Order: sequence, then structure tokens, then C-alpha cells
Amino acid sequence: MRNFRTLYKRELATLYYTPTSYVVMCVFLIVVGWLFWILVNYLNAPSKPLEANVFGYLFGGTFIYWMVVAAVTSALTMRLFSEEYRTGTIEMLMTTPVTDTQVVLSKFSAALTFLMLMWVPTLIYVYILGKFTTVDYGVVFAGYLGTFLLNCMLTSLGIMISSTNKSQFVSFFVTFIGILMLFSLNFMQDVVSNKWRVVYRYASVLEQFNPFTKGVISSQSVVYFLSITAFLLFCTVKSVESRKWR
Amino acid sequence: MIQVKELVKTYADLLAVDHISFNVEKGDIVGLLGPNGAGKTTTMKILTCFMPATSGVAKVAGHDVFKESLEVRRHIGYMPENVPLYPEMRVNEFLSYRGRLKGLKGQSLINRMNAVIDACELGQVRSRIIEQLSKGNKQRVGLADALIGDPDLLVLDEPTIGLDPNQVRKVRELIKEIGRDRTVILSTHILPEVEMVCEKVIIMYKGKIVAQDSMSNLRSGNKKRYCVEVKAPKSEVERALLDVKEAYEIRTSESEGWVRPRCSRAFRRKTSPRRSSSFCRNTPGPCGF
Repeated sequence: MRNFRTLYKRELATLYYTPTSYVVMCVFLIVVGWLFWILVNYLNAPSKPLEANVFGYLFGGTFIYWMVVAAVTSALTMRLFSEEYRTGTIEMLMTTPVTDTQVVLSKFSAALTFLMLMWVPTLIYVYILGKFTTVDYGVVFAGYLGTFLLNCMLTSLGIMISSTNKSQFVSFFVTFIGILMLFSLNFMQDVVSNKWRVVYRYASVLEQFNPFTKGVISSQSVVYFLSITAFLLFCTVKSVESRKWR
Repeated sequence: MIQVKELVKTYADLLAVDHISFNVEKGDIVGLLGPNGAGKTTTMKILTCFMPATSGVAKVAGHDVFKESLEVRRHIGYMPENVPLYPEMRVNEFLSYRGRLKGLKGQSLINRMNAVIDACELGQVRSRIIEQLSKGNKQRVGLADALIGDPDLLVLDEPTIGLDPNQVRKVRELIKEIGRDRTVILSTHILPEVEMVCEKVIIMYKGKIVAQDSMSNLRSGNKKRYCVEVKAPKSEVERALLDVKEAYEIRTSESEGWVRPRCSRAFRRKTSPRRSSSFCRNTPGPCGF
């Protein structure tokens, strides 16, 4: 546990040292601010019928949201292992008395912490909304919980891909495309046969994430996100270990 | 301290380490000498548990490097080739982080940090960012990192590569100083370095150990073979060597005008071999380099 804490602290500190993180944070906040503006505009237009998931605008209801989430997660996770492989620091790290699992979990937790801290400023939007209209805080909570679970899964995907190669760019690109593919499974269910449709629908990130924006915490979605996260982290540990089988 | 038996490592179809065996006693300073690609770094990576061997046994402080990897790593301070460091950290942040990973905390961490910073003369740069340090200072930070856990065994891969002569001298002195109370194994392709620093040498070539002995034994004995380089036409060199009665098994190779004859000396004859003429530029040594 002590090793985990030491590793975690260093990883998190490094995320705050690198300029990339600040660029990512800026872009993210600009886009979420913009999404909030769309939400406010929608609420101000009395001609439009009120939907149950107005918070869908902030959480996953727009294409731009998914693009930004994919880009942000890929940019933050790309260097976690790739950089260590490229500079050779992995050799130094893995010859100290730490286990591969500790290293993987600490990197994952640090990236996840950074991503979730990025969401903290968005609470101000909820506060502003609360000033002018009645907000169902249960829905807000479900939205943030969904975001947390989604970030768990996407971060573990990013870290897994980063652990397979030396190039940050390759890691970024593959993670980015991977996330967009998970997202687009939802649209692909219309072009496949009935038999496969249910599989595609279950595997689609969008389908699993949507209930949260409506304030529904379904156990199916929670299991979906957590099990994929656990599986991808397991793959990462194996990928880091693979230097021993080659 | 180190027991290696029949160690083999293959990368895909390349045989990097070929059935090597050696022992290192506690307190020795041992040099792994050999040209690039001889398998020195691979041997070190196996000893430090970074990767396992294909076959064979390696033990450090009585623990198997594969089965008891974590235990072995507690005994080792390792400085990899080219000293990879985290460039964004400050020297004392980095050393404190590494110290914690190696199990130090609180006052003992602070004391140990001060001790290695003093030993490696890093006092002036302790709050500088590693990225901005000179190559020599980075090397020192790497050495300080290897030392911070107070390990019984120090494994240094090419510790002086890329340094200016002055820094090379200082790092060698430092290694000698450190080696007084612990075991050190270092790799290099520079013969004088081994002569200056090490008590024992293991010579590797193409994955095999071609010689291992103490420096003094290697210097005095084993001069059965001579390797000289002569600048002269090949045919003349061969003819001249034929006149030397004591020399047999003569083989010559030629590159860029230099002829390299290798021959063995016959000890059966009492007469001393005729001294080579003034155009020889090499001193006797083990052949193969």
C-alpha cells in the first residue's frame, strides 16, 4: 500500500507538471462551458417541449461531448507507459521492489483522479442552474456517477493501449479511435441482423451511459463499466508483464 | 553474492547470452568487459530481475532472481545504461521518491538522502530540475539513486559512457570509494577502466565468457598467445614470423593496411622469443578484441 501511495503521488504530480495536461483541461472546460450554454438556451426556449433528460446536454447527449471525452482521455493516458518505455525509465521502475499490479493501479488511479478533478469546476453550472430553476439533484448525482464509471472504463482502455507500445502518438491515436468505435456501436446496431443487434446494443457505451443522464442508476450499466474496467486493467498488468515472456 | 550457472538468454533467434557461469564474492568489485553486443547488458538485466533468462539459474544474495524477484530487488541498486531519469522532477524530489520505493521513510530517508547527495557531490544541484542538469550530474543522480536504498550489491551498466575525461576520473574514484564496503558489478568496453577500478574481471565475447580471473592473475599469467598489429605488407609479416622459431599456429588478418597476426608461443623451447621490432603497437593481451 505504501508503494502504491508513493507511485500514485508521483504519477499525479507528473500529470500536473506536464503542459499537455493544462491544454487538455482548458479545451475540456471550454467545451463543457459551451455545452452548458446550449443547455441554458434550450431551457430558455419555451416553444420546445421539456424532455426528461435535459442533463443529457451536459453528460453525453451530444456528439461533441464524445469527441472531447475521447480526445481528453487519450491525451492523458497516452504517456503513462509509452513514455516510460521510450525513455527507459521502466527499467529503473521495475527493478525496485514494486509489483506490476501496483504500478498499473497507481497509474490508473492517478489518471482517473486527474480526469475527475477536471469535472469539479462543472459543479458551478449546477449551482447556477439551481439559482434560477429547480434542479433534481438525484439526476445530477446519477450524471456524475455515470461520468465517473465511464471515465474508469476509458482510462483503463487508454492505459492498456499505452502499455503496448513506445510511441505516445500511436497510443493516443489507437485510444481515440477505440473510444469512438465503442461509441459508434450504437449506430451500427441498425445495419446488423436482429441476432447481433442485442449484442451491439449491450456493448454500446452510449446505450449504457444514457440511463445515468436520466437519473437511472441501472445495475446492468454499473456492471458493464466496472467489469470492462477490471478486464482492461488485468490486460494491462499482463501486457506489462509480457516483457518477461519475450 | 552472485551465483550464475549456465545462464542462457535468447531474443527471438539471437543468442545473447550463451551458457555463462560465474560467481561474485561479497565485497568484490567486478568488471564485465567486452565489446558492444557481447551480452553484458543482458546479463545485468537478468541479474536485476528486469527480465528472466531463457534457461539457467541466477542467484543474488541467495535468492533466485526469477522466483524471489522482489527479495532480490531489495538487495540491489541498479544504474541502467544511459541513466534514464524522470526529467521533470527535481533532484531531491526524485531521490526522495526512489528512496520511498526502496522502503525508506521519515528521518532515515532524510539521513540517507543527505548521505548519498554528499557522496555523489550533488549538494549544489539538489533543488535543480533533472532535465537541466549536465550529463555528468545526471550520471551522479543515477548513481545516487542506485545507492539510496543502501544496497548490498550495486549493478552499474556502463557508468562512465558519454562523460568527459575529468568526469570519468571522478566517477571511477567514486565507484572505488563506494566499493569499499559493498559488492559492485559494472560493465564496460574500456579495458583501462577495469584495470583502474576492478579487482576481478569477466571478459565476455559474443555471449560467452572467454576469461574470468582476478586482475593480477590476468596480468601476470596466461600469456600463451600474443596479438600484435603491424603496418606492413601481409606477405612480409608472414615471412618474418616464420623466422621466429617459438611461434606457431600463425594466423593473419588484414584491414586498412594493418596486419594482425595471431600466434601461440611454444613454451617447450627454452630460448626467449625474439622481441618484436619497433613497429608493433600493441601490448600482449588475450586475443579476441
